[in-house]
Amino acid sequence: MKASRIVALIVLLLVIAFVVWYFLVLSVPRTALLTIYYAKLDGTSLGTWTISQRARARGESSAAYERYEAMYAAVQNVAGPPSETQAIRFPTGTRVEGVTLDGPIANVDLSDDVTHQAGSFGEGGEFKALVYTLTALPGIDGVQVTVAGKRLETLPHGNLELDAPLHRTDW
Amino acid sequence: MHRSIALIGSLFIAVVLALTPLEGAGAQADANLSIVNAAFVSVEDPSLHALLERLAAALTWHAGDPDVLVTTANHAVIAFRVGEREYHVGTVSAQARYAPYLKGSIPYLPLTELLSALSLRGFPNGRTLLLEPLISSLEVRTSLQGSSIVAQAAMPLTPRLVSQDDSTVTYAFDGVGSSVAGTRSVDAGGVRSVSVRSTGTLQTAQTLVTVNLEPHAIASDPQSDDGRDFLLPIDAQSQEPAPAASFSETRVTAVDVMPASDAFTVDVVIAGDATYEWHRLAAPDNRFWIDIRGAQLSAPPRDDVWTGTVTGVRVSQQTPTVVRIALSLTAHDAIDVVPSADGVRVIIHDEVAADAPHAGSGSIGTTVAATVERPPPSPSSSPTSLTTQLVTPVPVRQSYVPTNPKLIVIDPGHGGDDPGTVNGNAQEKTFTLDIAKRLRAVLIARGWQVKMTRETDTEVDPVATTDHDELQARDDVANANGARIFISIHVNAYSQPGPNGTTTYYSKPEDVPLANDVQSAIASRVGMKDDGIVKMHFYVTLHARMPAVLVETAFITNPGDLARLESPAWRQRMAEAMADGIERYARENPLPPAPTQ
Repeated sequence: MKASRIVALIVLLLVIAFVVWYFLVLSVPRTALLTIYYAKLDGTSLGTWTISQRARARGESSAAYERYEAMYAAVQNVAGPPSETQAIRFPTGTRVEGVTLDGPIANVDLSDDVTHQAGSFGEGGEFKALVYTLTALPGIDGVQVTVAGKRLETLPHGNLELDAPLHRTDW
Repeated sequence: MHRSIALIGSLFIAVVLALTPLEGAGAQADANLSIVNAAFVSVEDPSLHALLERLAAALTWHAGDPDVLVTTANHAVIAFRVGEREYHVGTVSAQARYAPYLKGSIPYLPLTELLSALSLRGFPNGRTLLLEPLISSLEVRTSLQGSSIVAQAAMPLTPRLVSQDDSTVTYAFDGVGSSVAGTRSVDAGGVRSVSVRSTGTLQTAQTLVTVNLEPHAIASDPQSDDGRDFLLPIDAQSQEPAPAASFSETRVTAVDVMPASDAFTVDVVIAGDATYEWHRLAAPDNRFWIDIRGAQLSAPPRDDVWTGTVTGVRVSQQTPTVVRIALSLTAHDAIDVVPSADGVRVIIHDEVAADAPHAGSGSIGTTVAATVERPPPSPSSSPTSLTTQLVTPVPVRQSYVPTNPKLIVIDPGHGGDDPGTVNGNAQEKTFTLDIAKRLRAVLIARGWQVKMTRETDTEVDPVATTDHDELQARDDVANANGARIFISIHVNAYSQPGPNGTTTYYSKPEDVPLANDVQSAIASRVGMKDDGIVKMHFYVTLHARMPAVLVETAFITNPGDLARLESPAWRQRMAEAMADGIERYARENPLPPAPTQ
């Protein structure tokens, strides 16, 4: 009697272990889709394109995956849409140096190349698309931009205020 | 049918090379373009970084991260992960033969897949791999106006026109091979076919792109503004009557989804003429769909899941000639379907509309029209307008009271060591100061008091050490003097010459009426392209306590706009238009009467 209970308990534990394993591993899609925004050349409206990205890896924490997702989205956004798409683009050479998450704020560090521009048209469109891209991710509602590791009050040679996180409502 | 397209007016074939500038045109295959010859390459390998720099590519990796991202000059992102054979290139995922691995804490990437993703082909040469850049894709796009041929390659090169007769034109790309050799039929947009052929060795590699044209088309040399985009104008000297527009050339090129707090917008971008028809189901089944008839879907099909007002967006080629965009809604929300500049726009408002139209139709392209069908009115329903107000009135903050209600502060952008935007000898700071002085004269003549943040070619705060301090100094002039209005004058710019026109930027709700009045006065009086008013997180407009706007008068980088900026008469009209806008604002937004003693 006692032995049968032990066997039943073991079977139950195995079933539970299988269910947990299935939902944590097997049920995870191999790829996920991300929507990336770009600013159109009319200077005001946004377009989107969709990219595939890797799914959460086995053993990868949700925090690590969310950070990767934000990094991937930021890199894609700064790279811009396919060449044939007419879009406002970051200055040539601009790259994402790093992305970290701090609660609902994504900290995006851009290379100094982003300052090699002038005119409201470019800076407005670029940062609007970046903010829309990152705040489309779950849990992110603002973007703090730094340049070459430094937090700036305004974009050099520009007009955009950068000393606080940018939100969609800023546009 | 397709051949007849070539007979419509002028025809352009744009050969767009998605490439970055390179020293010297028509560069030959560069033997120095190389990398260490191994199955894997370290992300810290100097030869990899040298190669990426030559390709205008960038690598993003942080110590401890298993993910490595490489951004190419063609705007694609290559994503590898240690231990995973699957990797991503742009929108495509693929399987590497071997997964990246860690040696110490440094990721090593599979070289074959990396080079392929970079559109490079390797030739072993001892311990080095000599690399040949490849044309990796060549896409032909047709429209009623002509055709576009978009070629992508790893390295920026210059096409040469090498031969031309009545029916063909051939371009040579020196120093580049191709992974897309072959001939494809087009028979549309004035192009019969395009063939790609590679010749030579690594050192003498050359790819020839031959375009077989419809009759009567005459090609000229490729043109390029910046070494990236090459335009081949082909004049189709039609000897036949122009045919009616053909729906078969119409493409749905993009479906852009823009969620926002008060409305969910779907922009359907359409190239060519088309008709559309939309329907919605009655509550509680809130599905909506719009069919673009006579169109082909050239954008990727999609089936997106959203949260909020819209829970699903599906885009598909419903039938061979109908593109369908279907939305799943959570409520019977008000929906507007309106023609836009480049197609049709669907706006789902975050408000329930009991008697909203249930169907509508329209046309776009040469003829723009739209109609809606409403359900029969129920006895309890009240009449409503067919047109929904697209711009929600903004509540205006009334807390600021100017101590000097007749004072306008004018801020000429930049100055001193900061020239602002530049094109040749033309400098933004000069134009802004000139327009500002003209505006001052007009306003004073009309009875206003005016203070300028600067009156000469200098910084407003010569001792400012940061851009922030300089901008704050401009706001300080207005804030300290209790001005009624702050207007900052600028000249726009972009890396391409195309964008042009006037935009008025604002930041605060109370800026909106002023921005509207100034922008509309400029649009009606100066004759500039009206780029509208745009909300932006700009320092000077945010930190001015009074209604404030920043006017980007024109684009210094656009030849037409630059010619206007250099015209004193145009600058005078611009100043007078700004004054008109300011006066209209003041007239329509009177200050409350001063308290009596």
